[in-house]
Amino acid sequence: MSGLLSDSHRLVKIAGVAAALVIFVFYASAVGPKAYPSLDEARRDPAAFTGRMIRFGGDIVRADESDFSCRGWDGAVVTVRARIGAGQEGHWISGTALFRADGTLDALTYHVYRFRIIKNFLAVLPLLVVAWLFFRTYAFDVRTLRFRDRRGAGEDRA
Amino acid sequence: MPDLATHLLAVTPFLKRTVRRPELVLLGAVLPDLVGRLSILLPARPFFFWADTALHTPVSAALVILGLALLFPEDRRREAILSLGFGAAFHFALDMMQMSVTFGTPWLFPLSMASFQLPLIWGDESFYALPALILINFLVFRRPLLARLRAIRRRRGA
Repeated sequence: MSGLLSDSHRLVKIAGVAAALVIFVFYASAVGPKAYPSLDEARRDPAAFTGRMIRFGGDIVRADESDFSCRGWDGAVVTVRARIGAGQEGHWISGTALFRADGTLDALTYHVYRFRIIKNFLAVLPLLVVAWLFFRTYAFDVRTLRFRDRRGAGEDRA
Repeated sequence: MPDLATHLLAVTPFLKRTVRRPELVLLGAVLPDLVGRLSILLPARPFFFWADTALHTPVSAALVILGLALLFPEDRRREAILSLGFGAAFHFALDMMQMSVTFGTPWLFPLSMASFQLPLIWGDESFYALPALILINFLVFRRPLLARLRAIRRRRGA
């Protein structure tokens, strides 16, 4: 076997892959906020974002007839004008809105993630199953930095 | 993104005769969320949100799969890439079907941050599909499942 999948400079290739992923992360954090500005960007420069569409999201802390408040990642609470209905406190909401000069929002589109906890709970069992299946089949050899088949190479399990 | 249980149960019916490495297909089916949803375990910061966005893309998944494949013996790498890639492709196919109010997966990242979806289901409501998926899996795997149950019963009776 030759080229990308060969053993030559294997660790360099792995390091290259890791480096590319790190670059991707920093690139996304640089261009993402420009492509999809959020409440954070709008709060830093309110004048530039007044009347513009931004993203918002957070835990709903209050929901009334005509508006609601949600708490963002930094703990700051924002008031959003939209009718989401009563009894939504504690749910996660995400959406787009127009940023107002007074720091409030007029919601354009939004979704209340009522089943977010169920979804996270449903992630645990599949992860355990996949981990069990994988490590039942493969063991990581720290000396050679390779996975080896516990059942022996070449065995056809089709 | 649909929940991981949906991701797994959607791909398992295809494992029956198509692939030799089901454990790698299953790992591939959860891999984009394993690397692209790490912020759940980290402090809530916009940087980690964009890190997740960058890592939960087809190009990043391909790089992670390449890096993982390089940890396998040389003669198993092609098979590992195909199996992990099949699972990851299935993952992204399901993710494409979810609705998004802000933006979904930037499919062409790092070339573009634009995203497009086939809006069929909210990510947090995907578990509605679980009963149907469980039934499909039972129908596909009923013979080996029932044979194993019979064998267990016979062993207990003996």
